[in-house]
Amino acid sequence: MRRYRRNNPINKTIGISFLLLMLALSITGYSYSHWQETIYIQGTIKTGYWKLVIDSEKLLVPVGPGIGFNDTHPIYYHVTPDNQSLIAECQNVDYNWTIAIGLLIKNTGTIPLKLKNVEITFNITDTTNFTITTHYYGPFPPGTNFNFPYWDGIKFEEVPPAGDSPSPIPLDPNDHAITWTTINYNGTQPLNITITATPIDDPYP
Amino acid sequence: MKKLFATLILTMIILTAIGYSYAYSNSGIHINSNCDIEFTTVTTTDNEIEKDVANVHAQITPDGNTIQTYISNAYPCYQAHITYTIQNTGNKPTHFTNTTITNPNPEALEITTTNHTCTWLQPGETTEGTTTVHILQPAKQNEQYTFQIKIGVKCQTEYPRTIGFWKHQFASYLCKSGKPQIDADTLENYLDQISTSPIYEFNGSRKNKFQQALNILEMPRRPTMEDKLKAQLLALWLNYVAGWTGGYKYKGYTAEQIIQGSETALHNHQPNNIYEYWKNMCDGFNNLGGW
Repeated sequence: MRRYRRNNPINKTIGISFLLLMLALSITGYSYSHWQETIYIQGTIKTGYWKLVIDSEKLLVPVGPGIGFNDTHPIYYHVTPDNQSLIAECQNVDYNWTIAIGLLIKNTGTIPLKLKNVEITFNITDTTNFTITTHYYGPFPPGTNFNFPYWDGIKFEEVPPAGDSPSPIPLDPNDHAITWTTINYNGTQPLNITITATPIDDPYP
Repeated sequence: MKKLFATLILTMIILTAIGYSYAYSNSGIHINSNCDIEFTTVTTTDNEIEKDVANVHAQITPDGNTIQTYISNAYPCYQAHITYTIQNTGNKPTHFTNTTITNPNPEALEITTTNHTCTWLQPGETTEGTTTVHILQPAKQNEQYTFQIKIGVKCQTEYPRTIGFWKHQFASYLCKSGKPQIDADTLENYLDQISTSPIYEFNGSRKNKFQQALNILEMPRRPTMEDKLKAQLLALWLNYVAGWTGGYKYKGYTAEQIIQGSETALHNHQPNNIYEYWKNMCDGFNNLGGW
């Protein structure tokens, strides 16, 4: 009789079920007693950009009866494809040669920046006979008419126009600035030179 | 067939219990909101004064478990501050266990945040924190960066036990009747810790120590107010060394504060009404568990 009870499959089933139930309850209790949670702070940061480009350019030379500057001192200039610099190839640069480079500069980025200066570089090492002066105008927010007296129709003799500002010029996105740089040569030996004018910025703030 | 059916039903119950339990422990299910913690408010500010260039925006997800922050048009030197409130919306004390900052671009971002670790929050109580995001000079233009802060929280599922519970523990070992819930080694260790108190001293064999504790808890036949205070204070000490008082307060007092007040009263032989006050404080704290 005892042997029959011990091997009864129903008793076995009950026993196994009981053990499983105990196990489940243990896990439930353990889980409850170890309640823990994690809360989160998640962040996504997208940075903006700042970009100073040459929006338009002018290279002025003395004009007038009897001077013929372009004939005696040919100049070929262009703005680089990335709109970062103006390159001027100047031939037969001699005593008292003077030009004026005008740059209409724009911040095409999303972050304000500061126009620090216009860097003038030469393809020659000895530049002691050159005198460089830059004047800064602006900032000109969108909608501002800066053409007169700083840009449209300005003549070589009118450079630099009055109303300049000390650098750096703060430029918000889409703002413009104008620079006029005069370069004068007082050496006696004629030269063929390449001049590069590049606006330089300082990051915000 | 019947056996198979019964086993199947039982298995389903077991799996349900395990699943339910797991879900609960991960705050997927809330039983009477026993243990729950949520972000309730979030505000943002930044260090821009002259110009509004970058923008910071933050929002709490509907489940209250996450603050999502978005910063756009950021630039070096920009700092965004995210100030938030965390509330214990359950009915058990909770405490912060850890704070982890994951910042894959430390060269571009500096993330600082309030460390809440070890702070307790009573039910309904709130705490404030601030996370600051600082964009560093090497940050690239037109780039996207991310960060994550994990704040670990644990619920106090234990609770202070009454003086009756502790009497039962010692009596069970001494009288060999009833079943104790705490093993003898642990109990003895508790008494050894409490012996550092100027009020109690348990010495001799384990049996002696247990008897001394039981005597204090049971009190003489005609107890004085001092006896009553010592009995309730010992129960509170036992709850304290068992780690069951963390996060609880009674009338604004923590267990440590009540123990200190009671011991000062006993040490200075203060009048009965002071003893009674601290006895009631100990008693009230020991009954915070409700059973």
